[in-house]
Amino acid sequence: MDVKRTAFGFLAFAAGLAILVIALKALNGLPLIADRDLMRRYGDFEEMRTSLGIREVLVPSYFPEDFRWPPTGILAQGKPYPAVIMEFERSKEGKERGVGLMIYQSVEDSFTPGGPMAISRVRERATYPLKGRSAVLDVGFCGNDAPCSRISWREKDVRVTLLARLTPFELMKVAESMLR
Amino acid sequence: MSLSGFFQSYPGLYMTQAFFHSLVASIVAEIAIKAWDVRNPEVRQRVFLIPVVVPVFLFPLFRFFRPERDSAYFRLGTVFESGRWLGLEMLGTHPVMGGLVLVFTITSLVFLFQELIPILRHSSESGNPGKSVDKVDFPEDPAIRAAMETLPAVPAVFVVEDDDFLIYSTTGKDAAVYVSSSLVKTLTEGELRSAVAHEISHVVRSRHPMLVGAYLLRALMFFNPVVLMEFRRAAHEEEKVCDEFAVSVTRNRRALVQALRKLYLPPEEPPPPRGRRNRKTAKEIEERSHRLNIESRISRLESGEDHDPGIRWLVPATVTVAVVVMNYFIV
Repeated sequence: MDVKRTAFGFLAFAAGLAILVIALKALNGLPLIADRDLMRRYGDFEEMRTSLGIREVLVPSYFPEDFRWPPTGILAQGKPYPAVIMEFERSKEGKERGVGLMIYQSVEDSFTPGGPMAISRVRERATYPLKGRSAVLDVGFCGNDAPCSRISWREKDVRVTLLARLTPFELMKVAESMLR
Repeated sequence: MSLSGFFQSYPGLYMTQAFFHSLVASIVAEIAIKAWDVRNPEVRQRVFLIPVVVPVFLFPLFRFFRPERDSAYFRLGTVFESGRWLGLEMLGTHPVMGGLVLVFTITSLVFLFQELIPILRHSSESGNPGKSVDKVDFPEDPAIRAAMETLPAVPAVFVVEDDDFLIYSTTGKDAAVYVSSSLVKTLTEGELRSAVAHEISHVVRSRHPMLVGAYLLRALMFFNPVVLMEFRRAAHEEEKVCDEFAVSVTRNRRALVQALRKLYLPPEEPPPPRGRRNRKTAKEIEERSHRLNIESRISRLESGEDHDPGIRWLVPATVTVAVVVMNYFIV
């Protein structure tokens, strides 16, 4: 087999794969046009609420120093079950940028969004009373061994989870501010 | 369990993703065949087997090494997410989900009635000594004996008293080649040698671990229509691989071409007058398809296409890597 033919074969193969990826991406976008309930990113909180018709979304009234309302990113779906993910980036200059706080809620207990702040190792787990609810507090590491905390509880028929690169004490304050 | 519940369970996710993985693998294999203009039947067969074998392992492997592949963020960033299509709702139904169930069911039935039951029936019949035929061992037949002289590793070859042109082999513990007496009388010594060498290749290759393994994995994917088609394409290539083996042993391409013509290509009957019939019967379509297959084998042999050792492993290896990488982003 001559080198020229092999090289041309690789080029043609790569071009074919590129066309296939583009076609698959296009196919992947079609259901989003037909069905507005599928998981997608939203520009702002109100757009998400009106589009999906999700009435009750718990939001914090207290934010630690580097974070502020509104969320910097919102992902949500109406089916197969309603779920909302809110991302908050650190706003203060000089500090590490990127998502530092995630709040997600879903009717499915098993809902795991993954993403930029997935907790990789739990160092300590404790049950914590949160304004009459029983919350589970995890302290561990996210991503590149950065310390982070997670708190999760059931609110009526929804599981609410907060994950942040914050001390457990700060995280609990945020969680308490979401409840009356 | 509801239909959508099934598609969110491990078996449902496995079946769906294996289907899409094999579909993508099949397209990638086809791109490679065209890109490198692969004509060597052994290489083509390896490439066709990739969509059969690789998707069996991909979903559990991906899940083991990257459990977060199921997460919402990962799914949003993928090239293709099957869940979006499965979840599509129209008039209170899930048409894609229902369609996929229908396709899986039909494919499973095809596998059951066209492959599994015939194989089990064949196995039970070949183990039944009462169904023997009148056969003569080849050393007793001078024509066969002369034809076999230069062939290596000859399994049992028997001549069966029959007026039809027949040659076939059985595999397994008592592997043998059977030739009908009328064929022995019709073919020349060289043609007979080529035809038997082709059958010997089937016997030898039936013990090939790669092919045995591919069949077992194919059986695991009984529900998958892409695997069904790709496995059949690979099986078609098997005839061409055995042709190449026969030519390499006998060094007589022409003799095999003549043997194939005499065996399978009787002169076509003239078509009946127009208007006498409008529809082709299933038997006619099958015969036509068989004839086209034989003609393609003959034209391959006559063109004397060379083996291309350079792409023997390069193309299958490249396709495998591309299939694994692409399918990582197909959930």
